[in-house]
Amino acid sequence: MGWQADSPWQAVVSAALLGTERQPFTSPTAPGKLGQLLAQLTSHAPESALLTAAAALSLHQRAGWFPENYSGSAPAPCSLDDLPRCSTRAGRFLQQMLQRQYSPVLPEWLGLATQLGQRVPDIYLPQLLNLGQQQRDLRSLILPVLGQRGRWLAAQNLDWSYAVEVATEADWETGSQAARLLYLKELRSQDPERARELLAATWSHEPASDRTQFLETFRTGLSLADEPFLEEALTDRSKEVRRTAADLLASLPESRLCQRLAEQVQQHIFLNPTQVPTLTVQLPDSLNPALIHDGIEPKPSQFVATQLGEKAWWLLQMIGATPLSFWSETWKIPPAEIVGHAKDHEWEAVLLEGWALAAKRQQNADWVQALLGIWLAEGVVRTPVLPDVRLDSLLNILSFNQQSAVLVDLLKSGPGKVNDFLTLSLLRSRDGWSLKLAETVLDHLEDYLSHQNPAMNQAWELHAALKEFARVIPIGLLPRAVQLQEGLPPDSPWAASVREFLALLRFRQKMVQAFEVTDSG
Amino acid sequence: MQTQWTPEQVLALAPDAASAKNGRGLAIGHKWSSLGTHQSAVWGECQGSGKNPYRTQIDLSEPAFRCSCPSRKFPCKHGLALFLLLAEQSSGFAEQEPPDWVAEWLLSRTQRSQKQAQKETQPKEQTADPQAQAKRAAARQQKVSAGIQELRLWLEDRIRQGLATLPQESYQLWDTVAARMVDAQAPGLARRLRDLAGTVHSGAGWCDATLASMSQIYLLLEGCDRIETLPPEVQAELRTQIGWAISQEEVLAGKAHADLWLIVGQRIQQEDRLKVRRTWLYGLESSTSAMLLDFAHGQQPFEQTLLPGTCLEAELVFYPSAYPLRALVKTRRESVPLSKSPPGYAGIEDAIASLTGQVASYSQAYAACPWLEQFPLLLQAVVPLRDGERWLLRDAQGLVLPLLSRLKPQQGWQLLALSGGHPLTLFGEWNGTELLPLSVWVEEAFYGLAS
Repeated sequence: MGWQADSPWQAVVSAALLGTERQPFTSPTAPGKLGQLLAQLTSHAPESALLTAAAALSLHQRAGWFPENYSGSAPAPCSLDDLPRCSTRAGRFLQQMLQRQYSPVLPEWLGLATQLGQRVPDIYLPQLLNLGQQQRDLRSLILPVLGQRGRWLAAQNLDWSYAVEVATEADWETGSQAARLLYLKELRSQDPERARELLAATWSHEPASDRTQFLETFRTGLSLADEPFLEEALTDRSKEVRRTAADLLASLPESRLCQRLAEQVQQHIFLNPTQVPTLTVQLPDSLNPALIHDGIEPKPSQFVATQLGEKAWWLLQMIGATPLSFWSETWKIPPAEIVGHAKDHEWEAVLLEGWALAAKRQQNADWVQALLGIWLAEGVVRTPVLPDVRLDSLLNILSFNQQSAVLVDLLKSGPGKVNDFLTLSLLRSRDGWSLKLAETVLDHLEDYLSHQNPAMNQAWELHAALKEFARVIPIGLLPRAVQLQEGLPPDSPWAASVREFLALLRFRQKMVQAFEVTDSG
Repeated sequence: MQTQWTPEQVLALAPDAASAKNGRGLAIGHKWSSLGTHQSAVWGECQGSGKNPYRTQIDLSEPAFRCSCPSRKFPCKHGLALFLLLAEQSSGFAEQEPPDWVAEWLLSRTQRSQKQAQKETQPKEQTADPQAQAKRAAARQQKVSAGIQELRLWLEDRIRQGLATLPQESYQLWDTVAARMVDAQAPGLARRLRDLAGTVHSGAGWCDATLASMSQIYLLLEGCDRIETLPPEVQAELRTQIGWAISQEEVLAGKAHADLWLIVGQRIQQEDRLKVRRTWLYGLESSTSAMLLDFAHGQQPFEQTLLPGTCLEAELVFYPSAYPLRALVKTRRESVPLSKSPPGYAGIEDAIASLTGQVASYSQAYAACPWLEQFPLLLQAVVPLRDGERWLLRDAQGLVLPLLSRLKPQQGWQLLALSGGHPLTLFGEWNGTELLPLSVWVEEAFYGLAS
């Protein structure tokens, strides 16, 4: 409440702070009836006069209070022309997940709302925006369901700036490093040429660490048009920039770098056209400067060094940067046959890992299937030489249906069991399953859960995995999943996990139904 | 059958977060059997861990719960789950004659409320010996008067010595004098003195607030000194402020106000082991505000169920006061569905005045009763906005009210999200300087802002 500086009230407060024994109290003056009242107090004892005057003045102030006029400026109201809100019922499922019940299903909720072109009910926006602030990986899913209202709200809170309208060219010129990176990323997905031109203009002034990060944006919309710029970057001062540029060029099979390495690599690997063709591998004796220029690293990392010698490491990298089409065109046989010849070869690891690296860079589904054919047939966990060429990331290169087909084969005709580590880890790394895969997994689960006492070492994995399975099984299979529970022997140690598994599936089923109703109905 | 319930309202009835969560978990059709409904009753059987299913039933007219499970929570998770099922998928309930176990309970409830009504209409025959009563009242009067004199001297002492050193005093200074007032049977004064201890240590501006509160208490004491010369309603107010509780029977003997009362807001505060609930009502025909105060100990539920955003067809009787707000429910329509559907946003819009109108009635109220602590503000067409670190409400003319400075950020942002910069209808408690928002209406929908 705004008390004025030299008001009668202030006079009374000052007197009260000091105390009447130090300074006698004289009642302040005021106009009107208030003044008459205060004047009557002279006959009171000083303490009584002070308290009564204070009571009168504070009551006078309070009862006469009037709201102030706002002088600031408020943001313009949010446009009401917005996406339709999801149904109240669907909103309630969101609320539950925001309260951390069944929260693993949240991405599915966000996806459903996005598909239907609906937005989040207003009251949940603050919680959802907070969640996106904490969990970066959810942001791209949250953005489409915020609607105008969500972005309007986010613009008023710095913590939610990630949800505000995209960065602009002005951000690129004067913004923070993060804003510039964001702008470049977005531009790269829409107009890669323009993004490259912008970067080229300032390239020589950017610090090395920023150059690497800017260069990483080239993974989006990468094409041969980027080649001259990347070739230039191969001679950069910074080792990280050179490495990134080489990696990007190696991902373009038509690039000159790939052609150069293909020429090199054919001096080291031959297919002998005997009746049973065999592969001959000759490790390079030395590493010439041209190869180092093209990104072949002379020293293996400590981890790689435990598995490969120096020369084998050079060859692996050369294979990894060679266009995969080179092998099938030179030898006139399909990828599956080629990798078959490498199986059990003295240099099996060099060949297969090199091809895996190339397949990952060149996003080549045929080669990935050929390699998985070998690795999954054994059913043992392979230790990849390069940490980013894991089986699950190779599997991601395939289409959704191909991925599911590989896993169905693994379970039906391969060594895959629903409780072995390799199969479990691949199943758990998928975002969705085909109907066929889900049915196959349910068959395996039914067999395993109803007949076996869980072996101690694998049990925990499967308990945890069940919850994740419930997230990816098509909900049409709910009745089939319920049979799982019915088939459990009495007192099964799996009862609790299966119950949770079904609860999550049912939650998803109800959630999907909630999107189908409309509020007016 | 009523379908006005929303899951938010149902969950608001949960005694704690765990019950709400468990209730949600059980609100799945296949966990229940023989779901049925008849008039204002719904029931169902839920398979628990025991051999026999738990029998759960709700009388929606209040709503009141009953369940055969052993849980001491009230309502239990089964009651909540059954209610949630009704709110979310009422089609699962078959209209049918209630089974015996439901019918018995409904009958006992009707009988009970009849008895209560009888009791209220019958004049009190066996009132205690009037002479003894007068004697007791006189003895208390003496005690209170002595306490008042003591407190008056104590306050004057503080003024003589000056307030400047008060922040250095320990809380014991206040506890001691508050305890003396409890002994003097003036708990209302004791509470104000304990609050003062907090005010003194509240940082910047403490001296203004402290002097204002002390002078309010002094005004109260002055009033008591010459209580006989004051109008009856001010006398009643003074007694209430001192904490001389008037019995419910005495209150109920007063004039009854029948109306369709909209429950516009609710606030529950925890004071040690005691839960204190303020429920604010707005009479749609009389355009008057009322407040129901309820208490519950520990885990105990509140006796009556009052759901914000719904309506209550009831007769209220106000406590005698210089500005009557606190009331008791005298009669409440039981076991009969509401005759009118509760009004939504438009109903409120029509009923309430603008911000300036509300401020004017606040001024009147404060002039009539200087000891008023919360005033109900039902505001039309206000826009919440964020101004630096402050949250404000602005009306169409550009006048602003500050929201509670200790408002949870989440609540402020929720308000902003709901409005989108457009006007909304809001209810809150005004303490003379800040507004605590309790409920909002946007596009026909009611939102309770949990504190």
